[in-house]
Amino acid sequence: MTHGLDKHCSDEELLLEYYGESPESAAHLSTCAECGARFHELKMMLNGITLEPPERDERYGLEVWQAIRHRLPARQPRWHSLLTPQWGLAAAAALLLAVGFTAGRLWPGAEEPAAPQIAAPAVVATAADDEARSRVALLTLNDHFDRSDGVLAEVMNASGPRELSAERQRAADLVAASRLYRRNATVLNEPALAAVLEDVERVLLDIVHQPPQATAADLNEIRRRIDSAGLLFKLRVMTNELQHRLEQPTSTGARMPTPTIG
Amino acid sequence: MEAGDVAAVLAKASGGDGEAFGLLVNSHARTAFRLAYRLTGNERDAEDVVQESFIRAYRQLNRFEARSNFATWLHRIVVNCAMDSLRSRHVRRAERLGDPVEEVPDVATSSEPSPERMALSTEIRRRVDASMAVLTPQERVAFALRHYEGRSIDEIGRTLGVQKSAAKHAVFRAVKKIRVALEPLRRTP
Repeated sequence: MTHGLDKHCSDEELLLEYYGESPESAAHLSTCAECGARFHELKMMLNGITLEPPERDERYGLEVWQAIRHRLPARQPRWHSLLTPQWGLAAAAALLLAVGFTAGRLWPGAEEPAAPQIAAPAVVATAADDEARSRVALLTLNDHFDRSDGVLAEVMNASGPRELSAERQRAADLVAASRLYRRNATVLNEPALAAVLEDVERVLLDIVHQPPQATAADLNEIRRRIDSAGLLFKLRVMTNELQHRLEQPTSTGARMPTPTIG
Repeated sequence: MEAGDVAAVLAKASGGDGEAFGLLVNSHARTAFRLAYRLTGNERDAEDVVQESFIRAYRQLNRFEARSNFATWLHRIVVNCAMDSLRSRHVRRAERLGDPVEEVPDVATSSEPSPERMALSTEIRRRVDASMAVLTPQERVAFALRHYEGRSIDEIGRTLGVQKSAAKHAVFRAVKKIRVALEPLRRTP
């Protein structure tokens, strides 16, 4: 488009000039007071039109995924197979054995709510209600994922250099528990669950092996691994699923077993 | 998520791995929402558009070319879904009024509180909203892409699948209508 200096700008040309798509008009605007005034008026009007979308936090992606994943055609995410109602009580009970085996060792202390409720295989073996046992297993896994999420989220939000002693200790505890869960998940033919546990485990191990004082570069590298594997997302999907399952009313009105060994 | 990661995830998702697709949703949902909100102008419709866009993307993953940019591809899907949403809203509104909705309402003579009692920015926003409601879906989307998203007229034409001149005129008509709605404010002392 060419623009004669003696010809006034059309409204369309002024609009394109405002959006930086009509450089030909600039010369005329700099010499024509009338067009300059019209352009100024248009600019003031358009500058006043703003629209700031409401913020969505980092969990928004997870919310969208939860809302649509059951509407996707004919493909169920494999990692949810363990968490569906079809998940056998035998699997839950088997996992519970693993939990019982490690609970007292890995998660001692009064501030640990779920694991201390089951401290030895003998206790598990005497539990009367399969459904209740299944729920305890879900609760324990939920707790594990929640703790893992907490450690990873702290590292994601940390800025270096940073003292990581507390995170390293928590990560070491989680790695030990995770290895056992993963082994059981493999035995139970739940490769997807085992894969998620393994992915998380790798990063937790990275945290364990950090120097006491992690540099900004160290933290960036861990963050990159967490991010590229979508670990926080996977963990949150798991946690949400488990929470959902736990909120389902039990068919027999089974209740969580009360602590027998404290 | 880095480009290499996206490619790997896409390959898995295309093979039917819903888990992998979840990662893409997680990475792109917030950006999709911002775009959808700017196109539709309200949260509820934007939420619906985001969900519908990802479902549509999942269905069409086999059409996605590996060398393309997933964000660009998704951007186009969100725009199309927003257009569909705006069209149905436009039709509903037209049916309600029993007449095509082309006229800008005379907001200057409404019974709302006088401009003196309102912050000017609020009044501008209200009038812009009112004028937006009567833009055609194409005008609205073209304006939003140009004004809020900073897309060039050429890009807008390609995204909407129309000639560059049609995209330009859609933006122009949108601004003209908004200007009419804001005109009374300009005359307010």
